[in-house]
Amino acid sequence: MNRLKFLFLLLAAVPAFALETIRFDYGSCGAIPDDGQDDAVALQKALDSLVAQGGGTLEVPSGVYEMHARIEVDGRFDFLRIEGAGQGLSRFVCINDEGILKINARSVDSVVEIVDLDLPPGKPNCGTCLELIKPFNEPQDREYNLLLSNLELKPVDLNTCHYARVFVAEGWMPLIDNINSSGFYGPNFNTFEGKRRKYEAESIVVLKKAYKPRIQYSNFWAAKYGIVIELTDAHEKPTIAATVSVENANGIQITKQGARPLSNPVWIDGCHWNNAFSGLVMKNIDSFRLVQNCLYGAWDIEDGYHDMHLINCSGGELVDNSFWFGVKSRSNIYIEKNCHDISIRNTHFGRGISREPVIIEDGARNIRVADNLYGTVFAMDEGDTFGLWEFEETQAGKALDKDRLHPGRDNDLLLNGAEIVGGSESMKLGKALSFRDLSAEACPAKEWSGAAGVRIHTCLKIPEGFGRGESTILEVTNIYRLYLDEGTLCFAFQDSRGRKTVLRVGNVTTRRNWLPVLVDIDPSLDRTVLEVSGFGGDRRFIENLELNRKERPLRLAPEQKTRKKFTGAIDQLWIQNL
Amino acid sequence: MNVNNQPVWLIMLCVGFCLSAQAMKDVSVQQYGARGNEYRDDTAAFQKALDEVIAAGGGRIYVPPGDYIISKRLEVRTPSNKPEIKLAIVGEGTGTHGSRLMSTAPEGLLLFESGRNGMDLTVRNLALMAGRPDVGTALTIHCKILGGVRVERGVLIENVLIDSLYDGSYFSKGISLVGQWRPLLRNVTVRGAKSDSIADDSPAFKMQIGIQQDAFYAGRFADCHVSNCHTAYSWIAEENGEGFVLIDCTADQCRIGAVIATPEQEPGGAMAHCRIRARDIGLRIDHKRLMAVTDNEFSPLSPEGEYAYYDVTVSNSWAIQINRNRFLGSSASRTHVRVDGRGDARQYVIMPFTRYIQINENQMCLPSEKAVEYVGDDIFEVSLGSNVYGEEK
Repeated sequence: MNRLKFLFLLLAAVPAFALETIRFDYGSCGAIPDDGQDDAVALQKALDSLVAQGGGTLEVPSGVYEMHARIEVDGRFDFLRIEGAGQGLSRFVCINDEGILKINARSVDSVVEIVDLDLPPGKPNCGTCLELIKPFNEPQDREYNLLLSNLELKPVDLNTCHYARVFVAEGWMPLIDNINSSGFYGPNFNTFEGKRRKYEAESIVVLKKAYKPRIQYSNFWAAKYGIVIELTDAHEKPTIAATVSVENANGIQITKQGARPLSNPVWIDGCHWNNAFSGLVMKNIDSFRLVQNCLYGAWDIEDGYHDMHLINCSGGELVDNSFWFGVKSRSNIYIEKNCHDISIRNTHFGRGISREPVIIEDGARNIRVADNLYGTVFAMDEGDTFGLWEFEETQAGKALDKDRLHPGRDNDLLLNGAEIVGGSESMKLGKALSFRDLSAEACPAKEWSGAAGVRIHTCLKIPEGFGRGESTILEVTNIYRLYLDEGTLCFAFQDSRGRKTVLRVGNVTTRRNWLPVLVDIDPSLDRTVLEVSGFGGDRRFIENLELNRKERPLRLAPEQKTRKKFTGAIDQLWIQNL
Repeated sequence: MNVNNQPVWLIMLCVGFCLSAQAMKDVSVQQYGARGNEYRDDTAAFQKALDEVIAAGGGRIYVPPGDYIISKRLEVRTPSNKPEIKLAIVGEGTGTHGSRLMSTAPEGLLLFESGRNGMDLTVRNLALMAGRPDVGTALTIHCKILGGVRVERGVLIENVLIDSLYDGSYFSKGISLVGQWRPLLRNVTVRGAKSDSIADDSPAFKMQIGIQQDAFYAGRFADCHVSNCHTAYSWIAEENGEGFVLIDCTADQCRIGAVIATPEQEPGGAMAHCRIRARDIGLRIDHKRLMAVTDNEFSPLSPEGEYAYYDVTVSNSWAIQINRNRFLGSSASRTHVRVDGRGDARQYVIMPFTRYIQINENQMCLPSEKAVEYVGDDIFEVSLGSNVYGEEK
């Protein structure tokens, strides 16, 4: 081999990233920004010339470039980068029915980067903003082979302009970073007709045959589908981090095809979504972590909406998530019958959301629901309401309007073996909420057989000027008793060593209608708590705390010879053995 | 339009017309005479570049590598009839061979003021260096008070270093943001005056705040590192403040790691995967609804409990999750979580109490009866589950 030939080969072997950089201006490409004229022809030529050389970088100076036709790139190239000057500066405005750019990369090793650009729709129904196709592969030596970063898609006119589909990518290992995209939203679209138009846009991010897709720091609003990911049966680590998908009809859908199990879990961390028809729907996912996501209820959720809906999923954790308000009550987590081995813990199920936060279909196996906090357990009083529910007058004063609540409130008490005895005629005795939780697995409630500790949530209504003397509200004979004594709410219990303790919160009789009450006798912490919302708490630590374990009936407001009858109301009672 | 078919003079005419009209421009500060050689004052060149680009309707200002002396604060204030700022200031990096602005101006280094919450402002690959003590706020971005919510990224700040040039020189604040929709800060490092002392009068605590945001909506701080200041991260909203995220960030050599306080218990917020080392308080939460504090690491600055230290304080707040954190270091003079019913809240708009505090799966160094401190009566439901506690010494 002569020297010249060797040098030539060496030059040909220059790495892809040393490819040419051209500037999208008049001199190089014939592009003229801000002239109100089409720049699609110039862009087509520029990209064609780069692809003809195996790729390269197109730098786009600040300015508005109109795309009167979609640009189509079809060929083999190693690396293609389109780089703007920054958000709000380099703007490709779509003024056609098809979209801005379609890339059909013929080489599996192609890399595409599109960064620091605005890609706003400039008319109604602009087709697919970016349609990017590549033969699928599983690159092991890179973070991504498709980078979409710092792209702003705010429509030219929020009320009329939109893409049917924003990004559709197939075959890539995509990193989608800091993308802000919206269809129609705002007050004009919160009416019934407006809502139908709001979801006119079909989708925002659709990733087909995606390998290790990652979506981060992005905001997706107002389309029929926010994020749709189809995973192959390859080794995957799909991640969605600190991303928002709200005001979409359907928030996030992730589906795996094929039999090979995931090597890494689907990971959704620090995200926020609220949508109308469905929140997150995951199908056939055999490994997942949904961590610290924050789910609101959209103002217009449809019947059957769940924040998280799992179909044929297994091997997953739902940890540290929080569920927050919405106009309609909704069940937050819905687990279908073919799911198994899932842990739901450290959740905050916010108040006023759901009477049945977790629904587990019969047939689901080993679903552990534990260590969650339920704001919903409590009735809401007037002074404390979010304005979501109303109250009706009853004989006993104000009570919750049953018809406006989810019927779950009327489910049977989950206290097998407990005896419910008649209270006062004037007492309005609501039944407890049906949590299939009770820190147990998804199985029927345990037999009541005594326990080392107990946690009680309830709402009490204590008539003003409640009389003198003691009156029992709730008791397990000789083990614990919740009672009123001269306007002081007391919880007395006897532990396994025969010690008696009385916790007290004073002057609870006058201020409000319904009083949320919490009792917590927790042997794992040696901690005892009696709390009355707004009135304070009595918290004490007792060494080697353990209740006297005996099987005993639970009685509510029992008739008693020596004590006065309790004539208030008890509602939303929930008792958990510890 | 096929440009090749047009007569050249027509094109040139068109170009000329467009340039004379409002057209954004991309410039380098060198075009305006900036040298960046550390000897000459480059203030006028930078300000001229800013003025011309803003007058042109926006554009990118490139800052080549160099050390640029800035003796007067660089300011951009947009007129009320055209409030948007469309601007990118982009350097080549933050190291000694990067693009560094050396400030001696007592009122700060860079100021942007706009009447619109959604500006298009990018600041990237720059170092902002304090050349004297107490030289104002390095980067100030103030919009009018926040109105409405939009899917727009108001500000993007990436790969920015704010540091002291000499021992004893420091900015009084690193970054001050008011009223943007969805600002994103990532890989931002802020350091005040260098000092190992943790006494009250330590130079390390003279920078008041590392990164501050008021009147915020859906901001994200990711991979940010703040040290040597009084308070590392501050989200104290006088007006609206909703939905913020602090993720993969660190705070060190500070008195308070992070403060989150909103006037009306606005919902939403998270601090996750952060490492906080503070002298007095790791994280203070006041007047907040719905916040997750998960997967963080907290430890006190004082090695033997010389200063009383709280890892997290919660007051007048609702639905706070403090889960799966690690509380490391000395257990002396320390409380992991202080739960205060009303706190010193000025107004009780919705709920005058603290409610639904979940403390689960944390790794604590204090025994269970000392891990949580209760203050005041207005507390309802502090739930502790599956924490690992330390032994009593």
